[in-house]
Amino acid sequence: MKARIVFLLIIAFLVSTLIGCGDKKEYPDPTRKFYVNDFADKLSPAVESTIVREAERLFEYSTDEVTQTGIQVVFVTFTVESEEDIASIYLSDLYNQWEIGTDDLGILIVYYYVGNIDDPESSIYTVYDFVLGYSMEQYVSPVDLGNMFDETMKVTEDEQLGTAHLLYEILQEIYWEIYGVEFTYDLDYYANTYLPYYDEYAEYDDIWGWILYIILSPSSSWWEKGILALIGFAILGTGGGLARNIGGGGRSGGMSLRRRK
Amino acid sequence: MKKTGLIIIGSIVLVFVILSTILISGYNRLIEADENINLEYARIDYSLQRRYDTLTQLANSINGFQAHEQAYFDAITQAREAYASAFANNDIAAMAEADNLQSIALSNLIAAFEQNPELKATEAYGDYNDAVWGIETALSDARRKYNEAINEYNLLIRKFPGLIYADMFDFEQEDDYWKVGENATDVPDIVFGNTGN
Repeated sequence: MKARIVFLLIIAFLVSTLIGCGDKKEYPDPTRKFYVNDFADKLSPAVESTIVREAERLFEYSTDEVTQTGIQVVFVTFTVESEEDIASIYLSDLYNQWEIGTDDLGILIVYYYVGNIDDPESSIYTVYDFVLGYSMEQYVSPVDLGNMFDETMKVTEDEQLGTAHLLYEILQEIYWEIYGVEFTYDLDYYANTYLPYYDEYAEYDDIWGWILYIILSPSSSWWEKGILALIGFAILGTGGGLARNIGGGGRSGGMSLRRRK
Repeated sequence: MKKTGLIIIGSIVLVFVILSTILISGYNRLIEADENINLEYARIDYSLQRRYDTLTQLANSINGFQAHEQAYFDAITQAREAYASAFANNDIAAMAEADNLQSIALSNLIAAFEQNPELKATEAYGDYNDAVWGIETALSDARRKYNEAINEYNLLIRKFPGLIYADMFDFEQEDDYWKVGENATDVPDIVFGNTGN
């Protein structure tokens, strides 16, 4: 009898110790692209592509042999039912869950839209939030971000162009402040050529993107479709080519900026 | 007989290993929770220091504009001294009270800016708003995480089997939360100078 009681106590001890060991996640996981997470379905494929391309380039530049870190700039859009809901979203927790930027060198930019969650198209923009990683605070301040916002998003009604402009300004600040390198961009070319004529299937960086390009894009030729038909089945099913961006292990202390348009 | 003896010894060793592992992991969880409090506390301290620096800058920038400017400096100094004294005595409640005093001083300074059109028109005003927002949100975040760390620790040492470990390894029973007074908001109600709201 005593042995049974001891056994039951040990089991209770084990169970109570194991309870609560589960990893609870408060916020959704980042998308496969990582650098752009358009949960509100508001950003155009052209702008998403620009964000991913430039953010990947920055990450690669900052992870070379000399600098050995990994700067990440991440955009997120959320639809909320009311503005009060924004208060219950702790962005430093989201930042830490996604582990943005190696050595805490990251920036999280969040757009909130108020409206019906099931009908994102009807929602309207309300608030922009910017969150800095611990180490990024040394290079980019809320004041800098505020000024960048005023010179980009605030001066245009075109949210897509404003977002790209904001991204470029942030990149310019980062490249200059951290590496002393001048980052240049041509916003006129971007607005008049890139945005209106962007073919979302033409920019692929993995085998699946290439397949989609061949099948869906009007720019793909018939000989490309023929080659795909011949080797398609051999490629499909291998599971390869599915590159996924992930966070660099960074953390934020909640230093942030909020803006309304 | 020999086989039975081996089984008994093996079982005892197994139970011993399991219990030791549980004990060590339980002890380590308490240590982690305790250290987490120290870490989050250090973040509050850092944020308060940064707010003090900004407050001093802000007060300097209203020099000559306000008849009662000395009162702002006095309020900031008073809040700083109260915090230093509470820090020296490791008195969390008094530190939180000093934090409140700083918040009040900050709100008064922001109000001074708001009431003065000449000051409000300066570029520095918009920049200060952004700087203050950044510091206050970081401080608010630090307070929240500190209280979460306290909550985690307190729950750990009050629930089974944590209470056994706490008693066994002489951990303090409960830590105080960082309580912000009713008259001090977490983030001051700032009108965003540059946004045209």
